[in-house]
Amino acid sequence: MFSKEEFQEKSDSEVVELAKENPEYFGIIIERYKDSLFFFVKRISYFGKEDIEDILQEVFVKVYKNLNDYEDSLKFSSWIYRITRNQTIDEIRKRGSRPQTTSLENNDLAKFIKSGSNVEKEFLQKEEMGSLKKAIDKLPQKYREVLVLRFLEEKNYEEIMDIIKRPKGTVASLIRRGRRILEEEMEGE
Amino acid sequence: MSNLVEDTLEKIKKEHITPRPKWQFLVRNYLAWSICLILIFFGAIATGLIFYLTLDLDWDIFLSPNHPGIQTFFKIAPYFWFSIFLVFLFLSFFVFKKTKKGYRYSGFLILVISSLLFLFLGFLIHFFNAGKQIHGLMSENIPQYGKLNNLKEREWSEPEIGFLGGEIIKLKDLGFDLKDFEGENWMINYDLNTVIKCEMPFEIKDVVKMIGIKTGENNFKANEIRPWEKLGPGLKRKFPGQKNGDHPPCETCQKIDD
Repeated sequence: MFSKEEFQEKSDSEVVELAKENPEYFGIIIERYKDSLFFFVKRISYFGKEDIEDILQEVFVKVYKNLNDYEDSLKFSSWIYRITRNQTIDEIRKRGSRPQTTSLENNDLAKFIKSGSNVEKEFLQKEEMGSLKKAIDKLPQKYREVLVLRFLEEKNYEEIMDIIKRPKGTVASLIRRGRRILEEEMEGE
Repeated sequence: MSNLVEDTLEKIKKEHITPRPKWQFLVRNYLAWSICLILIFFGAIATGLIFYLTLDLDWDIFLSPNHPGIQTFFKIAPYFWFSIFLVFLFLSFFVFKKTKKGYRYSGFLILVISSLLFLFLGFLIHFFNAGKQIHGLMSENIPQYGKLNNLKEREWSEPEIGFLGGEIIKLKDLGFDLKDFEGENWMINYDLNTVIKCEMPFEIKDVVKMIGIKTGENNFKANEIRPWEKLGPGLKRKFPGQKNGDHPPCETCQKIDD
């Protein structure tokens, strides 16, 4: 078994190859991604902590079952984010309609604001935060998830394309339209 | 969330979960590609038939004074094969999107490239005469297909405006009886001014197409008679009643050797 330091040096692909032989190594993958995926699911859904952990367990089991489907031509993070996104959407569909409030926190909302055209804004009024929260709640899922991936998860267009399995042009369109809808909603408020 | 690692590994051990074998994913991807190629193949056949049926029409008659022109084409166009073309185009688009990297390409790009591929392969099919063979086979074995897709026969089934075709069933002097493509019998007359394209002497069962005038209920005066299929060079022209040395007006012809 490798030491902790040796594991930190190993790439995701190398750990995947080890995990195929010995499931204990798969724990490294879980450890590496559990936190980032937790926040990702929280940002694109309305689920609470326990529900998200259940979803993540399903995700990691699915990832483990499909390890032989992973190829180096794709970033491992994009691949695991894709599986997580699909599983979250399935859960949202299973549970029907969305509640009204978002799970985004204030620093997430700040990132959204900074990503907008008015980049000089540094101090946010509570009312503006409130408007933004309402506007994000109203956003259709397809816009919300790309805005989260772009501005909160800080994924580039290539990665988003691989996560949501849509062409790059479509990703750019979704981001553009999502931002416009947010701005219109906030102006309306 | 530190339990997540232990809980997940515990579940994997308990339920004896193992990674799916690689061959399952390879088979799925190869299957998608195989289906895609099969769809492209059939789409190309449809395109080849469109080429054949369209190019086989006698386009020169569209310029005739009494011909309705391009409207006739829209009436008799190969809509059946065009529909098949569209079905296979969209099916191959959807299947391609299901391949491993298919999602990276825009729908518009996939449709354009697929269309160009269909056109290129369809042209090859037409170039090697496969379109004609397929059309012939289907016409012989599927009567409903023939009714829809024998465009050339429909082109030459407009006696009211002077375009008639069919099979010679009886020979006469300066005329013959003809059964048209709708099964109707006609009495065909021609004279020394009739333009006869170079062809073998008329024989019973010859299929011909004529430009002329409908002179009665089932009477047709031919101003021009053509063989149904274009003939190659070196074929003699002779018609009933012709004596050796007689040489009626003819657009392109070769003298008969005695």
